[in-house]
Amino acid sequence: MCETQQIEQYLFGNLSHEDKLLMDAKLLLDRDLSGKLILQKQTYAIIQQYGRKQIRAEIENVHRMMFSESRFKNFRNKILNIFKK
Amino acid sequence: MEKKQLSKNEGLFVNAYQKAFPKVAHFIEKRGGTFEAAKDIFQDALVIYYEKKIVQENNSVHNESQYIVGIARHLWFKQYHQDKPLRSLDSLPELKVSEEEPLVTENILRFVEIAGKKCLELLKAFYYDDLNMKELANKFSFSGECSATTQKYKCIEKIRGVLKERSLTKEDFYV
Repeated sequence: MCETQQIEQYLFGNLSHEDKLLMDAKLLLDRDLSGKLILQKQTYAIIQQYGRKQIRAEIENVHRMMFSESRFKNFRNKILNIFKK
Repeated sequence: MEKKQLSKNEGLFVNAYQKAFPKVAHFIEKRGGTFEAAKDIFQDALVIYYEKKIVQENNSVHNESQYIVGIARHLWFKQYHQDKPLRSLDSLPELKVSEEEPLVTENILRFVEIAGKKCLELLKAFYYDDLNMKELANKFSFSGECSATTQKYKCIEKIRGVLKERSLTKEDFYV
């Protein structure tokens, strides 16, 4: 298992009990490794944020499509009538 | 010219809009909310729905329309009782992965997007959209699953390197 994969398995809780203990010890002794772990944890957080940002953009595109294209005219009128009152 | 064929996600969201948005709109209009408020709340609800249903492969969501309307109502009441707009969807318990999740500012995200866009796309496809290795290999034209796996870890190392480089400049301390 490469180091990056091992860090991932450790962060996701997928190591065996023994391997986790070994990794805990390595992290205490190896500053470079513990530094990589912190950065990798931040990497997963960034992926999550990026994913969320992209999905929001997709949803907004769908919204624009449904409130402009003629094939969604009935839907659009239904919604606009709700707020006409 | 109007688009004819919808992508998988577009189809999912169009379906959600058609089935659930009218109910959310009614609910919010009855409580004095505007179309814009309904749109914002509904879109936030869709993000939560996407993450629970697609990303976590939550098959316990049986009635999707009801589920989305339920989330929207919850978000509305949360906002109404707080008496101010929700600053960030990320503060919601429904979306919290861990209390110890590292802070990701918009600055950091933008920096990584510029420095590692291709890698971010690949990693997003695997970790956020939950594509398996075979799908990942197809989408990004890798020779096979092994190649996709190797590239995935190389991309994590690349993003790590980008973050390390950024932390050395210490820009964020002066934000």
